[in-house]
Amino acid sequence: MFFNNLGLSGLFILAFLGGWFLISIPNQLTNRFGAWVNRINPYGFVPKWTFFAPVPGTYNYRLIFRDLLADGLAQPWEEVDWCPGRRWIHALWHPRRLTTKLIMDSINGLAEVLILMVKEGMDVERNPQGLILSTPYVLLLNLVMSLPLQSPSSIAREFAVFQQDPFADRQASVEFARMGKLVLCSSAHELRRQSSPQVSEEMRA
Amino acid sequence: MLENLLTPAAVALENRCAKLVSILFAGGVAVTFAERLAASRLYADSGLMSWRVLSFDRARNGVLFRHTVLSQSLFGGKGARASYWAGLAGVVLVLLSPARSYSFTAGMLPIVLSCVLAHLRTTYAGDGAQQMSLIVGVALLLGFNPWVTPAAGAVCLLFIAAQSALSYLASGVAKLISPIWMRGDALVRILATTAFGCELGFRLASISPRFTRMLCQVTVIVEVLFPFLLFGPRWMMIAFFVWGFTFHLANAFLMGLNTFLWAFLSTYPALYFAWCSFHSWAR
Repeated sequence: MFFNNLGLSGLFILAFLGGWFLISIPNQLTNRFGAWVNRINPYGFVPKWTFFAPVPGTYNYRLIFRDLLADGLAQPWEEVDWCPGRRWIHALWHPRRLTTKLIMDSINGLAEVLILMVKEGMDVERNPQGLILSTPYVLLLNLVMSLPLQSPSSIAREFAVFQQDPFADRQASVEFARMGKLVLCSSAHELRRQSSPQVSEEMRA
Repeated sequence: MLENLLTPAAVALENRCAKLVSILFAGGVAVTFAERLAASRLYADSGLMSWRVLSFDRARNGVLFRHTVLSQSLFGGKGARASYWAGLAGVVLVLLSPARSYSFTAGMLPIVLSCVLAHLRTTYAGDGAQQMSLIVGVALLLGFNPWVTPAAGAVCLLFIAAQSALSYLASGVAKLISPIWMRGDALVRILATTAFGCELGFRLASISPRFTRMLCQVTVIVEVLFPFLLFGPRWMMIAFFVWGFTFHLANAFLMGLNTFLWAFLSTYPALYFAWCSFHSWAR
């Protein structure tokens, strides 16, 4: 009687939602079944519920950049303030979360690309094209390149990402945050002539 | 057994649960869409999430993305903003309309389309709340429109409950196999970070490391056992819901994960419906 009551549209709904749920199950696994679902899930419609586990995010990432000048000199390294501190209002209203998550996802994605390239025997330093053309790198590059020029005679920009362990720093009672481990230092990317800054000053630390 | 879901009392319960789900869901997507509109310069052509950059990631993904004009109109800055405004208009309709009405369905449609477009656009900057919102939205749209029967509505609520139970179970099992979680260090280490932590949270977690470690381990155990609330007595179900509300509220304050509270709480009326259904079958 239940299935009679469903009707044709209900049976379609049952099949669709049932299939969606069933394929969600292997997507929680980190074995070849999970990898297979991951390959057919480019839009993220099949959910993955394993947040902060099994490896939780316990590092801070520092993003710095500097401009290279026409005379061959380099400007001092400047840090990008992409992760402002927590405020109580964020429990209700947190639009800045999008930028923070975008950059975190880009940095984590970069690490995955590097791991994959090393696994496939590619020399990242000699043949960086695979890295430079990856989406995470392009996203980070877009962020860095959209920041205002450090000098009117800047012709190129390079950036670096550092991984820092804030818990270890606190345990060691260091007086200032150490830069941590270098994850990536980019090559110089030519700056386009821009008439005005495209991103506000708030991102510069 | 399944016929118990079609009794007048069961259908009335189904409608009440669906309405509660839709209210919490609407609240969550309203916050999400409003936040994205507030951060809409991200989607501008010069923004960090401009389609000019994100299309790079989608170039191999199909005909829709190779059609430049269509994809730009859907996923460019104007298209993104239009979809979020349409979603907000949908939220108003959903809140003012009873489930299964034409206006409820008319409201759900732009919300679900906006969620789908957000997924198609990019998975970067997405999170679990976005995933759960899509699941709840699709289920409400399919199960509570004027053209399907109460049996379809029951299927949709049970689907939401199943995904919710799976989410807690998967999250718990992933923590169970994690040495850092089982040692009890994960919480204090996450709260020490700037992206997902806060100074207050770190200090609270550091007051009593033993208590914090216990909290870590209890979180793991409760998440793993969460699906079993469906089979337990009423007090156990209430206890799980109280834990869940407290857990997500704490995450909102300490980690800034505000939309998770709405998205996951919106599944609790569906879990309640599943609990009632199971217990009526068990009698």
